[in-house]
Amino acid sequence: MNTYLLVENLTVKRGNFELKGITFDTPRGSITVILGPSGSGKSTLLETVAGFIKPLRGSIKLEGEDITDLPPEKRKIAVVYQDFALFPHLNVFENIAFGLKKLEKNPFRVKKEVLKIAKELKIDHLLKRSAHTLSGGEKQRVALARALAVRPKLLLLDEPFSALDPQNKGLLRTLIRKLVKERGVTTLCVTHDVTDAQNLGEQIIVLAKGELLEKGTPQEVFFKPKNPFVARFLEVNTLEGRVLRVFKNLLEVEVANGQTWEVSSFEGDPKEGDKVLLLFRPEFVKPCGNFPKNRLRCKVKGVTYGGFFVKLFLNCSGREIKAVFPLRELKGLDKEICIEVEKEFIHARR
Amino acid sequence: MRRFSVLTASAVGFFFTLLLASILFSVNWENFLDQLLSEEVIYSVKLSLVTSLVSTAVVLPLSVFTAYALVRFNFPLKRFLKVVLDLPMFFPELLIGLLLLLSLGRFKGIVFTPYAVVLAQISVSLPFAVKVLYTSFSQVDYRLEMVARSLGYSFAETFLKVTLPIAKVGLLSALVVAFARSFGAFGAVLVFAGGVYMKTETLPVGIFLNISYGNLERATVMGLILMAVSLACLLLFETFAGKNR
Repeated sequence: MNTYLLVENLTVKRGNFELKGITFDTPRGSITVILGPSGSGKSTLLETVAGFIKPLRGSIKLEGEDITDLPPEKRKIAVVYQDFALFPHLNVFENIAFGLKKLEKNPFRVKKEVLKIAKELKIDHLLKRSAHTLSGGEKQRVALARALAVRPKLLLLDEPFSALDPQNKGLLRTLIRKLVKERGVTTLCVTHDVTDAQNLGEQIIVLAKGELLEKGTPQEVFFKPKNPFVARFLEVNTLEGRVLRVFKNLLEVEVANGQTWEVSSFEGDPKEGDKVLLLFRPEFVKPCGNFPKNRLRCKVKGVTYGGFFVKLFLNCSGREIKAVFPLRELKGLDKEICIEVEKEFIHARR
Repeated sequence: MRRFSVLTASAVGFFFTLLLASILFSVNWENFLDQLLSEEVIYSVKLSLVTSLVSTAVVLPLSVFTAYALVRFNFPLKRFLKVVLDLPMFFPELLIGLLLLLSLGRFKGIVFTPYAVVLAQISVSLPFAVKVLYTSFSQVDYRLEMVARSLGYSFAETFLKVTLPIAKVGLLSALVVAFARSFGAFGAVLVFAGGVYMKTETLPVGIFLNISYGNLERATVMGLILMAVSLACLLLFETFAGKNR
């Protein structure tokens, strides 16, 4: 991996909160999502990279250059905040041109650049409008245009979709991904929303209480997290078991109540008799059907609705399992149900 | 309840209207121009205007940086500084004059001179200007400044191009408040600059001196001028404050 941004042992103190020894790197042109619950230190990390907060220890290198002590205006890092932070005393054109004017003294070139990016973001009809008269989606596009107009070395997005309605969220996720990829802008995006992370991230970093708990590809982090907190935060089911037999591409694992499960994805070279942890997403849990194996009998302990799906909180022989079922599979509290998970969707780790 | 509140408000309004209007009934309009153009009144108006403008010119930058520091930065004794700056607003002006006399009285060439008038006016108006600007800067989202910095603007450029324009209404309000407080400063000016006839005689001091001499006619004319200036300041302040609402 060609390292573009390198954050090493970054320690930041802010009141009682501490960001502890954060280390990660990102390749050129990639989108890295920093995911974590509220108060995990995501925004502090972003603002430290931007140069708004001075770290206690550690370093930040961009394209090999140490920028830890550079003031924000010398870093060429643009920021887009969740509430857009458009300058209220300027209209849309002036907002987009604000950073450009610092780089380009020729007003005709500034105008040309503003028009170009405004067209690209489909906001060229709004250029004379005052910032406060725009809708949330329009404001977000203006903020993005303002940031991209200066051709930053690094783009920082702080919860960029949290103030948008679901429809705009979807549109802007696609737009941002397209734009930053086309322009090759390396991007760090902070969010607490797993859907944002799934849609944008090529690399995922999970923070909690100021510590970096996990980093990896979306596939690694969302489906087989190593850290138990991350597994809980991302709602990955964990089930303890004991290896009965090992085949070339298959494990037979004894789980609750002597049930035998088959697992086709595993790591750590498990042997017969080893204890393993099975990881699987609630979305892959199904009511028992054609697949005769990998079944458990469970009792429904809680139900929450999520659009046209229901999330069931199950007790399966003392183990807590979450399942996401279509609405038509809704079960009442304390109902007994049978669940199964196909072997391809389970990962085993020693 | 509604009827009682409206009646109370009307009664209070009526009382103050009568109070303010009483000056119009007391002015001797036949001699009004003579009094207005008298050497003493012209001197007082000039002195009040010049000293108030100088005070405002000093107060404004001082209050801008003080208020900004209080809003944006953490530094030792910040809370103490806030209390120290708020306290004079609750003092009678007379006490500010006494404190000025006790601390700066030993320096020759200040007390009982127009410089003392300016110092007294600054001491009276600065806390009010800081208060107005503190509120105004508090309303400027710090992230706007951060965005400007990330777009290549230095701290000073960000302050000039983002913070001050956004806090423009507060800045203009602080200017009007500083001028009005300076123009109307009395107790502190009287104690520190002395009520010296035609030397440190600002309009409020002039009113006091003329009442003491028994020249009510001149005191009334001076009062009328003061009221007109105060009204103009109030209208300006309301205009700016209205834009901020």
